[in-house]
Amino acid sequence: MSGRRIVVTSGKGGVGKTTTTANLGAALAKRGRKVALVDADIGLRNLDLVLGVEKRIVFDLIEVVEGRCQLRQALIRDKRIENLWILPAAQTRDKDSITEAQFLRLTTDLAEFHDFVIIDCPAGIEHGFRNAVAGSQEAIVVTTPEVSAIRDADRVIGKIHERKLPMRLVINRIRPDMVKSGEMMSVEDVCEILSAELLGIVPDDEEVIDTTNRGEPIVLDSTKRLAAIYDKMARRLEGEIVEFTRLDEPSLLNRLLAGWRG
Amino acid sequence: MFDLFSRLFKRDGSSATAKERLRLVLLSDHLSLSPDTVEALKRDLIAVISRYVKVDVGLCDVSFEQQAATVAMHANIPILGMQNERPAVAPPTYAKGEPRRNQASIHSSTGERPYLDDLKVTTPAATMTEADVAHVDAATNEALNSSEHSAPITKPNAPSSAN
Repeated sequence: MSGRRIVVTSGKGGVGKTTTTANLGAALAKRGRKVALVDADIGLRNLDLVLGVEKRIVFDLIEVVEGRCQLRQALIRDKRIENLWILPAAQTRDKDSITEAQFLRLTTDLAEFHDFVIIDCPAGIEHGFRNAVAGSQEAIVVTTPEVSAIRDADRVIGKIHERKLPMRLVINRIRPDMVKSGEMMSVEDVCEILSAELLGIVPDDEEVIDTTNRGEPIVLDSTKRLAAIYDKMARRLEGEIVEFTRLDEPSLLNRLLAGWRG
Repeated sequence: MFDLFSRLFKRDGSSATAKERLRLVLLSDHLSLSPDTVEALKRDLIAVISRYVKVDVGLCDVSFEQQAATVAMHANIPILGMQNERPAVAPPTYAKGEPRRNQASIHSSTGERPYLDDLKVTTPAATMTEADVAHVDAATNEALNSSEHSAPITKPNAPSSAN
């Protein structure tokens, strides 16, 4: 078996790469796929924390590459979601500790026994980014509807085009009320500017901070508003044609009466 | 309540500004051109076209669109009619502060054009249209008007073209 190797990247930091990696991966695993999440942010690891496995790290990615442990020994199994595995980054090393070829080898090895290898890319377009992209066959670019995030996403998309990887866009932290009042660029605006195909639209929601505080993937609790959003994203990634959730409805009254319409 | 009022009376949100600023900055990122240069390109394009046909300068729209891996330029230039005379070779316009030496090099290169002599005789500066003049910067304008009898190309340094 050879799974799909997908990098989640953005250029700018803080737009939601790790959150997207964690929740998209968890959603795929919930659908029964075998998923390995790789934290490529050497020196600034966070995927472990977002997924609540930070206390269970024994070995890291660099130790695997240097042959100090087996790949399977470094993988942390998620105890809540079957088939979800996490490969943590090294925290006390720097990004030059691994080469593009080593990264490619590592992700290729993982793809041998996982359906999806999802790589959480570091911010920027330097060494760490090149490593993560070298290990991938496809890319997901995460952005928010802000000028700086979009400009950086555009840079990253250019780099991904150069490598001829197929790419899709996730627009994170949309505020439908602000879009409606003309204070925030809409999904259509962002797609038009970046001329990219859309994989997901994620509304800005305090659920993200709350679940991250606890180290739980949002998709774990299907009553969460964003659980359905990430599930749809996972289905689209698998080739299903799934309609995008309408974001322009919720007036406060509607929301109170009907709740979120996933 | 205040929020409701401010929303009702808000005519134009900042998202349109964001979109327009992004368009411009991404274009200069992609082409490695400064926004000033892009503006100068638009002006020159319209000036060149208006030498051949009369255009509605106020309604001219030149925009750039990002496509998969390239940038496309779209120009919507309403044509009002044909120019009466043959086109005059007007000096190009430049963005403010750009060095004049570019202009000089264009003049010297005109010596290679076969129709140069023809132009020199039949097209005095007076045939330039308003649209032309509007787009030629003040300094060049002055140079054109100071000599009624010669076309701009004959002025600075095209000695090889003299009959």
